[in-house]
Amino acid sequence: MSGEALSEKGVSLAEAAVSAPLDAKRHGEPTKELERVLRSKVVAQDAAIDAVVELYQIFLVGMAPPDRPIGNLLFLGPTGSGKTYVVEALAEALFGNPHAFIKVNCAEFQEHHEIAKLIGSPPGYVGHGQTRALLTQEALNQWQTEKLKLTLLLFDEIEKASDALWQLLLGILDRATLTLGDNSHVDLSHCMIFMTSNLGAAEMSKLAEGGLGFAAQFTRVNEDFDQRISRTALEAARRKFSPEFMNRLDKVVVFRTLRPDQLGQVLELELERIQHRISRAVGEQNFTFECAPSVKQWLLQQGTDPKYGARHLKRVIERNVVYGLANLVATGQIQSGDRVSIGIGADGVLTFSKCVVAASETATQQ
Amino acid sequence: MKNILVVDDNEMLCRMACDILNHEGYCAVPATSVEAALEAFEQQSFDLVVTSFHMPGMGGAELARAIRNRAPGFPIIMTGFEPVDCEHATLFLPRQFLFPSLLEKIGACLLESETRAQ
Repeated sequence: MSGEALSEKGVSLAEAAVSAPLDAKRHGEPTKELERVLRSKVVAQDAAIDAVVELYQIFLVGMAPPDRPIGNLLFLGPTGSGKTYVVEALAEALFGNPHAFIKVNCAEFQEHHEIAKLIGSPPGYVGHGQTRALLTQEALNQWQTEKLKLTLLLFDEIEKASDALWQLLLGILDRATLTLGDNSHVDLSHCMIFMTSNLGAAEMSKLAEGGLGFAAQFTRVNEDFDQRISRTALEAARRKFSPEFMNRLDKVVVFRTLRPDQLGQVLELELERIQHRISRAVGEQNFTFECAPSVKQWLLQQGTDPKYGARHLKRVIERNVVYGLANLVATGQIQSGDRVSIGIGADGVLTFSKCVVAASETATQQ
Repeated sequence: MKNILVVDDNEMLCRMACDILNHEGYCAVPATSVEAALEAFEQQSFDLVVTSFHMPGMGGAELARAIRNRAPGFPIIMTGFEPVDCEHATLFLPRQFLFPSLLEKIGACLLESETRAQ
């Protein structure tokens, strides 16, 4: 219907548009794919995924504000809830490599002079020409591809940053530029900047323990608990960070405390990842493994708790499952095509056994 | 990032060990024979070699000797089922308990090597 025809009938263009509503939240195919991949990798952190996906969509359609980073995100929440892991999952989804991002551990920059490690020493200062700056243009562009001019930059534990790093950070978040020690300029307008903080960790820990004991509290992680954790983290952030910092943020996401069933999902994902890793590493000589439910329970007990979430889970799986399997391969007890079953003995030690196909079954197959 | 050459005729172990080392932040390169290892050693710079003692043809001892002829004192970790006396290796690790010992020993060897270089 043309505009003229509409006005003849006394209908304005604005009213006609209402009859054909548009969906501003609909994502394009690449963004949907990213969202799908992230949801398959990250457990229970939908708000973080939504925030990342939205910024990615803005970047893809070229609507990111000029002369600013693509997005500035602050991730708050308890230890081991997956703040850094979301960035790793995003790097893996976009670049095929979970390490395809630059990580600045702010705890390493607590002293004023340590800023030189990040931007290099100026001429005339000790270390000029010797200290290689971490945030060079070359370093920022290293993961970019012809199709994807995007860099993921993570500032971990920003509450530990020195004042010098804070000043640097404010400039980056506002103008997407950085001047190095040698006076060269770095453009960060293609960066998606993530900052993580455990601010409020002590209060969150108190909430988690609740003064009623460890095990009792573990079962009480629910929506109300998440909201209290969220409020605590945001209040702590507002107390610690200046308004000019908070104003530069595009999104603040408070990570949810993982419930026991969600920790179980994390474990399943980690075990799948280990199987995938082994398959990729050994290629055609692949073998498979499976863990008994009691083993999964044991791994969860060893690798997770309300205070530290799933922080130690990967390490516990690596030390107990991966190293155990590697030692069996080293001694020739596992060959290509084998299926290994992992159980737990009465002494609490993991046991490994090879699944043997029964003779009658083999005969039937033949 | 430290470069490590892993030599073992058991291809599955060789690749899996490399995967574990890569996971720990090293850059590990696999070689399934002494010949392939020596070729890699010529072409690339390594900080440490992990090699199996028993391999068909030339074994770990020959590899260690060849490497030490090129680079005296080069850190080499030898693995095997029974302790062997190899003058050219820095230390020996039993294969039954390869992990996590290998990671601890690699860390110690690299540290010692760096200290000596300073």
